[in-house]
Amino acid sequence: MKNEPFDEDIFRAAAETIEVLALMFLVPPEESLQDPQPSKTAHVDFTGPCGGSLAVSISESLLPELAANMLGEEDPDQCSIAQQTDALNELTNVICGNILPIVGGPEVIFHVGTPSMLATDSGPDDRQSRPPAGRAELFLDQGLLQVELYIKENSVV
Amino acid sequence: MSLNILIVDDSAVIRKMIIKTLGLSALPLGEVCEAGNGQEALDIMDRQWIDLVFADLNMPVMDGEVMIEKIRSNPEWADVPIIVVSTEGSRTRIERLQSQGVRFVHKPFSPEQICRVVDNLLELCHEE
Repeated sequence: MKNEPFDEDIFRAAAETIEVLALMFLVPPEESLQDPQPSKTAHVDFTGPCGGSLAVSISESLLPELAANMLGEEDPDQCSIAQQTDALNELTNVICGNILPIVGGPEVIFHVGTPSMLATDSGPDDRQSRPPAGRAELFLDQGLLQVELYIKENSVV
Repeated sequence: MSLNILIVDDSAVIRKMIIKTLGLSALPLGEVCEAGNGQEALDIMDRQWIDLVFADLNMPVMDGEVMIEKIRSNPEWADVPIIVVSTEGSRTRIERLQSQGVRFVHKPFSPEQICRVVDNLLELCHEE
């Protein structure tokens, strides 16, 4: 297993995912919409040689844009809440899937669960007990996207 | 001749992305069916002939790998082309799928990647 932290790997995986899947590109922080801290969070759990979770939080202003871009819709307002939620869940799933071979190596098999949204003020159990194994912030025109990877202690085979 | 397509993914957004992409490809589209997991997909295949399957791997109820095993073990469906569209990064698992004749597109995917795999598949079908 690669030594922590995974900050650079998470940044690269998240940037590639959002660029390819949603055609959204990074901007310098000063050009990003000055939105309050990310308030919508999706997370996905994984098990395998090690267990843990990946959480993706985004600015509320970014969510309709993300869904519209993934769906090829011109008007973000046309995207339903369900589509916005699904878009963030899928983004989380794809970033996680691209991080795990870096965490465990290209041969090992992980089982990735079903991503879901978190309430604003909650988090997976292991998020509250210790710092993440890796973290990245990505600035986009419409706001900020944060990615955090948590690996359970003593879960490495 | 148009082809009936089945898209299996628990994300409705991904299903819609694939459907939009197929509209850009050279694939002669017949009926396009959607399923949210492997079991729903098998139920659809029980009811109607499917020419090509796009499938995710990690899904609730029945995952894509189990679904593919069931398709391959059914004499009626064994030769149906399957394209897996997944975040899977394990070489072990990808090679296991490819040994069953499955093609693989890695997420995140661009429309061009999907079109390329579909076009290659169509060329192979014409050659046969």
